[in-house]
Amino acid sequence: MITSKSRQKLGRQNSLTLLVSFLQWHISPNEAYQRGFYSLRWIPAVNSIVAGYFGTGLRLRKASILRNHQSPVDFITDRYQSQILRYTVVVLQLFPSIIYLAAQVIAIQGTFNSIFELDPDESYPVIIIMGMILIFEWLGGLNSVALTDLFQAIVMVASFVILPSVVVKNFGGWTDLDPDTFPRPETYQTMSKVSLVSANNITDNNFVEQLTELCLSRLLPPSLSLIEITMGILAILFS
Amino acid sequence: MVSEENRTGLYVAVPVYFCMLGVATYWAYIRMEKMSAGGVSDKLAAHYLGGRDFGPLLTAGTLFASLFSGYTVVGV
Repeated sequence: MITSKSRQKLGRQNSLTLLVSFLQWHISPNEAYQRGFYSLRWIPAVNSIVAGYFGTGLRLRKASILRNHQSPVDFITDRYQSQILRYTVVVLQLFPSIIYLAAQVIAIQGTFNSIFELDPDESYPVIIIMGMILIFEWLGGLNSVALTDLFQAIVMVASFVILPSVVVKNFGGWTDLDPDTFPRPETYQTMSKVSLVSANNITDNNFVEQLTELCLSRLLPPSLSLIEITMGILAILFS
Repeated sequence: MVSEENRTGLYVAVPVYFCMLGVATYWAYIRMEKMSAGGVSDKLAAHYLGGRDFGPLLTAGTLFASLFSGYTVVGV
């Protein structure tokens, strides 16, 4: 039975979940570094997933409590009464999970061997770590997974916060950059540069050629290619 | 290449980290034992679902760590 107290608790959980999702789209560092504003695509993408969660997650939880489901597969079986569908879903869940876990094992092996300067192909450290994880999960179940995850999250957040201070202490801040090695760019490579180009040249007959030349010379980051193409098409239509 | 000074830090930090995970696991074990005092169904729910009773901080923390772990694998 869903009581008003458990509803309130669920509400608090979802508030923090939403906050984490908010932070999640805000930080996709590698893509933001490599592709600039293109990484903004994570905003609608993740918000759609969160909206989907709010549309289905709460109802699924309610159903799982009332019908005593242990997993999403139990819900599928209960709802559609089909064993074929049940095992199809199991296979579809297992296959990507195995790839994901295998990638993580290889990543742990690479990281651990690298930081301790072991042979890159050495396998015993990763086998020991996997054994420890197995024991942790066997003893504590999902409680153990969640608690160790929470501890990892605290370490990660602390690292994000502390890292800039460590960099400034060891290597200096912006003002310590050598202007000869790292010259200050005339214009930051952002959308505003396209706006400037278009504002100055929109009436020019050679705008499309100039824009193409500009793209080919890779003065603009590849993240702006969609905008460039759109502007090129618009320029052709209105020229 | 990790410097000698930083490697000493690693030799301290990594075992401390695993010890903290061990403490968290022990706490989880105690929590699970309390939950699974009932029938078989309760034992299953305690092991696989954490007793369906995670608080907001634990839910947010595990979600955060899982997401960023996934990001690291995918490389975004």
